[in-house]
Amino acid sequence: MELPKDPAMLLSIVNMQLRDKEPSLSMLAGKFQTSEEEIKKKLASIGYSYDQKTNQFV
Amino acid sequence: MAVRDDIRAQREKLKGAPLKKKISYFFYYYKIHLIVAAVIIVSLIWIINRQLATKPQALTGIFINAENTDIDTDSLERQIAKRAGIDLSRKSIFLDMTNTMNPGGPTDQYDYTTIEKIQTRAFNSKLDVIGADASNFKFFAKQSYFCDLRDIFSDSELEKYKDDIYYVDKKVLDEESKKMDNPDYEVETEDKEKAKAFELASSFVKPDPSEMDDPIPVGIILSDSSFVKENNVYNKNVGVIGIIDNAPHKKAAAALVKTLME
Repeated sequence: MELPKDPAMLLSIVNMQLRDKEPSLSMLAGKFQTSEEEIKKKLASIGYSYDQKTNQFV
Repeated sequence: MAVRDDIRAQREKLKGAPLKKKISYFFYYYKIHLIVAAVIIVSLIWIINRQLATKPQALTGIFINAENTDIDTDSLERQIAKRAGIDLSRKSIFLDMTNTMNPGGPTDQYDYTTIEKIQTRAFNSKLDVIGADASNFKFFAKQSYFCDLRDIFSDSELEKYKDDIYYVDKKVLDEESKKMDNPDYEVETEDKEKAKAFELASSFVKPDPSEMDDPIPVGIILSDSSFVKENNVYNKNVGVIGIIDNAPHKKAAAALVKTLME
């Protein structure tokens, strides 16, 4: 399954996956065959950044 | 070794002892074990009972900005069940009318919570239908959330709803999707005042398929729905309903739409 392209939709899926399934952003990126940087860039466009401690975009 | 010797000594003493003494000995030494075992057994029974009592869902619908959240959906659920052949003693229908979101797409933390709720269900194929105010329906339609209604309804059924069909232009959606492949692309956020104006019932103009390159019917506008009128739902703003592309219960979803549009 692909990650959504719209940043708002991407945010919710990424945070859900990080909370419930994937222990790290790198593992999530690997699962969906994308890069951490691409995810971070897209979510930065709506003002969200990755918090390693909580494993969530905030 | 000392403990084993002690246990052996105690057991020797109990040989020939009255039953009452044996029981008393048992409870004295094993009461913690008994309490733990009792808690585990009761918990297991509760979990199994709960699993058996929870009915699987035959239809799940989320409605956004319905305006009236205090609606008795029981009657609607019974009508849907009758139309779709759902046995409500064995399955349940879940229609959530309580969700809110700023018009035109998520803006704040509360909106993102609503989005996450919807996305979680849709991503796991546990959502059949979204009903929303028109500007938010447009937001979800842009994400290609909804299936082509021609795959769900017959030509004669769609003909019945012809004045209430919400179309999107697949060519435009595909172009937008290609742009979003570029991580540097900044998605244009909808102007909130324009979004509010778009969905006002008093001035709503539905998207015109004749102006589209590749019009796809993805929603039914609910303005003519008797349920909507009777329950003051989507009163001020136009409501639109669509069936999720990966909905697990498309037949039931179609039954919901037909029931609403009676």
